[in-house]
Amino acid sequence: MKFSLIILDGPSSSQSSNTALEFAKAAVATDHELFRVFFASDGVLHGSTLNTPPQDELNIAQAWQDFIRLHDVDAVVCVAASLRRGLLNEQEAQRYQKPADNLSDTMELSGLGQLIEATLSSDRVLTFGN
Amino acid sequence: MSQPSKKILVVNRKSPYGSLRSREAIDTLLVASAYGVDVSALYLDDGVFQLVKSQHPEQIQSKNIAKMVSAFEMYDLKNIYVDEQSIAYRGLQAQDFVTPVKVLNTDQIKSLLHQQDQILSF
Repeated sequence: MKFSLIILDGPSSSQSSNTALEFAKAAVATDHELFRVFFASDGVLHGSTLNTPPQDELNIAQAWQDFIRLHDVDAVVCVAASLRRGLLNEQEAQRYQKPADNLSDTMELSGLGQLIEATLSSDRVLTFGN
Repeated sequence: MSQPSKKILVVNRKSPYGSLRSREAIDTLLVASAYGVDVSALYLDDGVFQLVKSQHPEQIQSKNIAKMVSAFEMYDLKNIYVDEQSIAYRGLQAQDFVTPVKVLNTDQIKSLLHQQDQILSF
């Protein structure tokens, strides 16, 4: 089955993105396909390369980025939600004259059209977060 | 896009202000409509407050959600549903809303959910 996931909560705000990651791991470990993971709302903060939780705790943002890289997952962060929360790639940082960029190269900055396309192209869309 | 048409329902459960969820749901509805998708919206729980006419968010330095909702018709978003019980609990009626809505009871909501290919919850 072809799944897409929507991640709504931030890395520090709830358990839901960890549950989503476990689901994603289980999906690729079996015969299923991950069409796209769409990070929206506070969920976009999983795309930051700067999350630094205490070393003896799970870095869920890093865990997502590692998973996406390992399985070559199509991962999109919502551009409007990202800019609002200080998550920028190099191009946006230059456009808005910001001193740094912090978006992981595992994720693409794009619009809600990608969410609609994922919804149309997938057998199931699962929303994680509240 | 060349995908077959699917029925998508956007479910709104959050109050208009206090979080960005209402804005994100509206953006999703507008983009889906712009893509020519058969999209509907269902308002439940505190989400019904998003539809209420007299909102004054300038007092909390926010953009007016009702104003965005009132643009739905222009975007050809005509399937707007509200939960009968949610509005009754909050002392609201269909005429309090900025856009025409269809009021559904629990059984009708159940069948609305069954008709969808995908449901996006906000």
